Order: sequence, then structure tokens, then C-alpha cells
Amino acid sequence: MKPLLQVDDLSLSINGTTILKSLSFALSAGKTLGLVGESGSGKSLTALAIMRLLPAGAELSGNLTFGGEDLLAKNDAEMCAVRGLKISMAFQEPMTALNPVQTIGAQVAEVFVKHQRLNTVQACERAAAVLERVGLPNKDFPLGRYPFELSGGQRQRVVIAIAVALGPQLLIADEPTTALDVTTEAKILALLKQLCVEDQISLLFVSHDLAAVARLADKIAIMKAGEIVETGDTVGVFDNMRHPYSLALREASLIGSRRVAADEQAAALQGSSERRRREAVLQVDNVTRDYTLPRARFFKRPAVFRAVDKVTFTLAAGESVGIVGESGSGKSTLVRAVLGLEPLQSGSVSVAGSRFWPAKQRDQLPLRKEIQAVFQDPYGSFNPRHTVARVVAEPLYLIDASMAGLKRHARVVAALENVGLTASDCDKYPHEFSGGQRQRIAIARALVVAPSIVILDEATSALDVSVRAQVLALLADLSSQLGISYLFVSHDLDVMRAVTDRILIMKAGRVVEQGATAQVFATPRHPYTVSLLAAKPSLRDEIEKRRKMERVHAN
Amino acid sequence: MRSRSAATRARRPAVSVAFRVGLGIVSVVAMMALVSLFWTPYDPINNLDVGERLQAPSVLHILGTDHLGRDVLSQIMVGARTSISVAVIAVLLGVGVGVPLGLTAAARGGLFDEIVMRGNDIVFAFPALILAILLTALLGPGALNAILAIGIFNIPVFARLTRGPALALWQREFILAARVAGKNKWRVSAEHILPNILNLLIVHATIQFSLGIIAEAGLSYVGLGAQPPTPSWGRMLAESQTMIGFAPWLAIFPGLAIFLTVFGLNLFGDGLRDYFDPKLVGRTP
Repeated sequence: MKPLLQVDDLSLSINGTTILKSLSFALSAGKTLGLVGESGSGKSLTALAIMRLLPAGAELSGNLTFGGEDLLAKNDAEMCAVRGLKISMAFQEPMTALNPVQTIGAQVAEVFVKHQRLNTVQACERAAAVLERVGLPNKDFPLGRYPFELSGGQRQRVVIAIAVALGPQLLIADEPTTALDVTTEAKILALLKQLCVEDQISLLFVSHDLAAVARLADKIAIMKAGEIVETGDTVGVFDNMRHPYSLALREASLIGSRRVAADEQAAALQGSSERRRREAVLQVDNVTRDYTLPRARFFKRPAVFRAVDKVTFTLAAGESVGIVGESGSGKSTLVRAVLGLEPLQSGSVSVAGSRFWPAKQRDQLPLRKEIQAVFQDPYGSFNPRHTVARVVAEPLYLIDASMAGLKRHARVVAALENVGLTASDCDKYPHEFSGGQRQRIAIARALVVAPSIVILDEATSALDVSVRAQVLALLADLSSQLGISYLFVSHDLDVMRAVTDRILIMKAGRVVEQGATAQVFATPRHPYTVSLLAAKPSLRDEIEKRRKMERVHAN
Repeated sequence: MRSRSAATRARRPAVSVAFRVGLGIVSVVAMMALVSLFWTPYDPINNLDVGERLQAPSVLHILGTDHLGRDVLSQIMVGARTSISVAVIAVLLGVGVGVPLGLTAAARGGLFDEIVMRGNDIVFAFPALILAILLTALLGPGALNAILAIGIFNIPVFARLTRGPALALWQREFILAARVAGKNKWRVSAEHILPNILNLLIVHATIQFSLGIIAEAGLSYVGLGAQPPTPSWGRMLAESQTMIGFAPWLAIFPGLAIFLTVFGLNLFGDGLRDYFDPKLVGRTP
């Protein structure tokens, strides 16, 4: 059978810079190809090249055949007939992929009006039917809804509805679940799979997440620096990986499962009682944070939204505790509360045995150097006008506001060297570094005052898997060298499994479950934890599932 | 479109032609004002020479003379001083009060923010020039009161201009990081917020400066600005009114001075904005 999409020796350069180097792959009708790679590997541009939606100055060469037609030979008007109708696309960010001032009905109906010349009434009927198919039934989600009235997962369903509305032969999904929570991600992946099977749509699934790709794709292609380094059947590729890059990628993706085995051994050897005996460096007691909502009516008392509801936990010296929850579960508010940056309605926070909240600012200040934080966004967490030296030196203010000259410089250099950077990086600006290096700078900033607690608020979420593994390894080293306690806050269960001793599961402001990490992962008790763990695609499980399926087919 | 690559932040794009022209005009006006401090072709105030009255532009009097025989060029040079000083001080007043208000409103939020912003709305609700006229009429005419009247309307402009971007910056993680480093809201405002909106403030100050020149000319025109005998562009225009038929140069040259100065300042401001934020080049009309 001839493949639906045949890419041969496809190369792309933009303004003279080579982006893609002679890519070749094929995708048969009704099959799914997973395109895996880290940021900058060219996977998104591959998708855009197939759609011929490249920026000005782009030059394509090679062969691009779709359904027997040469896409490279088509002019823009002819491509317009292909886009949306035969090849469609779903994007990463459901916030920006929809027009915020148009109703979802109008946005779905638009494709019918444009491509099938239906009148408004017919188009709306069809739109309602498509939205129903993607799980947004008309009774709960009328066509008059606006994107802001929907959650991220529901918006992504609308985006998918638009993409499949005209029954395309090929759907290109560019990181469609990256911006979503795990449980939502699982639902969207299931929806994509179901639609592709029902309509016999071929799917080109672009992602950096090996586990998600393993769940959907029949074949995968691993990209690095504009080249395909490994390709083949999903199970085959995972079983016989040869290229060092794919091996590193797989290693990084398996980080969670590997640690559990090690952890069980460690627990068997020493028992967990030793940890309990250590003193608590952070004590959070019954912390509650309410937000006052705008008054619904002038004379009505304003309603209150409880973001954090009576959360209690402790962090012992040298221990790593994880807080897991989906967006909106109150984990970020809790972090700010623990850092003393959020006024609390009740409860208390103690750092190193002293009262940190409620406390006077004067009493708070000396404790601040014990508790530092690293934030999620490696691009937004530095003042763009400050040099690395100035950025890293900022918390030194806590030790001695007037610390100057050599002493200051020595501490900054020591902190930078701790995280694998050098003194020569002092005078550079943060934007001159890669995402992983920036996160190292952020860690150096946290370490410069030698804190006993470091809070990592989604600190590795924005990083590529291989870089994430390096940063996590660095954090583990620092903990064993300097005896720092970590409070990890993340929605990423793999990371949690790999690095934490104990874990707290948060939902709607409450801690629904807490316990030793290995134990919570092995025998979750709360139904929410169970659903969270079931939703997360795990590379090992996905491969096992595929293998079983193939055995069934072979028999 | 010029884009700024990550590694070359220190290197700014070449400045535009418009910026050079604007800078040229503004420096000529500023030089005129400076030179007038110690030299003018004639004494602009006391050189009353009835024999020389209403002379058309000539070699002796390049821009002609007025009905009292005073040299127009000399008056324009001294008038530049009046215009610039009134406009500059009015802008400084606006920046000096408005920026701290905006920073504080963004940092504190709550009731203070509400009061400042609603106060701004009240000031904005009045047509600026009319109220400036009312104010100077109440306080009495004169350069100082003109400064006050124009300056008051600059305060809400800068308060608002500061508050918006400051609020956005407060959401950024580097601000969170600074607070984790124990810095209080005032220090964060001074060290992190202000430097990051300085570009915006400088660009807008030049625009408010040109509006100040127009406002000062307007107030002087109705007799509420600098009082005679201090020369002022607006009053020169007002006085020329009855003589425009037979001595048009009396109206043309002060008018041209106002026009060119404002034009130059606007070019200068646009150029500054492009210089600070090259991403915008080509996007603005």
C-alpha cells in the first residue's frame, strides 16, 4: 500500500541557516507517527513544512508527497484547498489557538461555511454535531460559549473539533497536551486516538514526551538538531535503541521508575525511622488562605474562595518532600504562603524552629536566608537588565546588606561553581544562557545564602527531559553535599517519584493524601491519587501494553 | 524589520533618520535658549526703537521687528527659554509626583490604588487646557502658575503610565525571587520595577514635553502665561493678531518656532522609542 504522506530527503533552511537535514519518513493511512524531540530539534518546523506554513525566507527542498500529490509543487492558493480540508492541525496552546472574542460555535461553523459553502443554519448544526463528538455536548456546551468560559482541556477539545470537522486525511497535532494537567492529558490523548480510529485519520503526533508518544504512535521518529536519528515501529525503536541521543532520552524518561527500585532497597536497608528522628526545619500548621471575590451585588457580602485549606506538613533536615496537584489545586498559593509572601487567614509557619508567620517583618528577615526558592520559568525569573553576578548576589542582602567587593564576589563565584558554572559567567546576562543553564543560575541564587530549605516550584517543568535529568542530578548532589531540604512542587509525577522521600497530594486546596513516596505510588488510597496515577502515561507501561497488543495480533 | 538577537543586546540598532532630524531641531532650539542667556542680537525687551518699528525681515533684523521696534529673533530666542523651562518643569512635576504614585499604587494595591486611580479619573475628566486656564485665572497669571497648571495634568498621565506596566512586572517571577531575597516592596519598586519601565517613561516624557510647549503657548496666548515684558511665543502670536495684515512675519515666526519645536520633539520621542524597543520598528504607522 502506498503511504498517505511520504517525506523524502526534505531539507529546510531559513535565511541560509539549515534547520532540517534531509528528513525521510512515511505515514500510512489511518496510522499514527510520533515525532519526538526536544525544543529546537525542528519537530514543529517539520509539521509546519508539511503544511507549507513557513516563515518568510524559508527554503524547502526534497520531496513531499501527500495522497499522490506533490505538495511542494503547489502554489499558495492550491495549498489553501489542502489545509484544513485534507490536512489539519491542532496546536499546543489552547488559550491562543482560539479567537477569544468569537463563540466556539462560530469558530467551528466557520470551517463549514468556508470550505463547504454551507449556510449558517446548516453550519451550526454540523458544528454542534462535531462538538458533541469531541465530548462537548450541546446541552452543556451551547454554541454561544466563549473560549474563556471553558477549561484548558475543553478548549483543546474545541481546537480538535475544528481540526477534524471536515474529515481530514491527516491530522498534525503539535504538542497538543503539553499545556494540560495529567488527567486532562490522558482524556485528550484518548479522544485523539478514538477520532483517528473512527475516521481513519492519519495522525502526526509531535511531542517531547516519549511516554505520551508511546501511548498513541504506531511508528516513531526521534529528532535531534534537525535530523531523524532513529525511526521505526514504536516497540522496535524502544527495544533496539542505538543512537546515544535516543538512549539518553529514554533514560531520562524512565527516571521515575528507576528510582523506585532503588528507593525500595534503601528503605529495606535503613528503615524510615531514622528520617523521622531528624529535627523539622520547616513546620507548616493548619495554613489557610482565602481570597475575597468581587462582590456579586453591591450590598452583598463578598464571597470567599479558599485556595489553601488547613494544610499541615513538616520537612525534616535533609529530606525531600513533594507537593503534587493539578493547576488550581492551590499548590502555588501554598508555596507563596510558606515563603511568607501571602497573608494567611489562619495557621502558622515555622522555619528552623522559629516562628516565620505570623511574625513581624523584623523577625522574619533573619529567617529568610534559611528558606530560598527556585521558580518555574527559566526565562522570567531574572531581571533582564541585571548581570548574572548581580542576579545571584541578590539574596546576599539578607546576610549583610552592605557586603561588597571581594567577599561578595567570592560567594557568588562559589555558588556558581556549585551548580557547574564558572566565574567567567559573572558578567554575562541571563538571556545568553540556555534554559537548563538559567535554571542552574536560579539554583545558584538560592544557594548563595546557604539556606537549609530550598523550594522548587515547578523548577524542572519547563526543561527538556534530558536537561531535566541533569538538573535533578545536580539537586541530588547538592542535597547530599550541603544537607539541604527540598520542597518540590510539581504536577510531574515522574520527577516526584524520582526525587522525593515523602509526597503530599493536593486537590482543591486540601491535602488528600500524604505518605512515603514509594508507598503512595505503590498503594494509593485516595481515589483522586488513584486517578492521577492511572492518568500519567508511563513509558514502561505503554511499551508493555503495546507489546501485549502485538502478541495478540500475531496470534 | 530589525531584530535583536539574544547575544547582541548591548549593541543597539542604528538610529533612524527621523530621530536625527528631531534631535537636530531640538538641539537648535535648546542652543537658542542657552545662547539667549548671555547674548541676543538686540535687547529683546528694552530696545524700544520707534524708528525701527514693524520692519520686515532684513539683514539688520533677520526676522523683522514688532510694533515697538523690538527684534523678533531676539524675542524668539528668549521666548524659547520661557517655553522650555515651563514645559520641562511641568513634566518634571508630573514625573516626580506621578511615577511614585503609580509605583506605590501598583505595589500596595487595595484602597490606596483605588483612591489614586479614581483621583486620576477625576483629573482626566476635565478638559486639560480649559482647567489650566481656570487655575491660572484663579491663582493669577504668571509663569509659575502656568507650570503648576500644566504640571497637575501631567501627574495622572505618569501615574497611569507607571501603574500598568508595574502591575504586569509584579507578576513576574524575578519579582517573586527578589521578595524571597527579603526585599520589601519599596526596594523592589526602586531596584526592579522602575529600571524596567524607564524606557517607557523617557519616551513619554518627551511627548508630554511637546504637549507642555503647546499648553504654555496656549496659556500665554490668552494672557495667563509669563507676563510682559518676559517674551513668550504664545503672547507674541496674540500680539501679532491685529497686525497680521501688514506685518505677517510677526505671526509666522513665533508660530513656526512652536510648530518646529513640537515637531522636532515628536520625531525625537518616536526615535527614542524605536531605539529602546527595536521590536516595534515598522509596526507603528
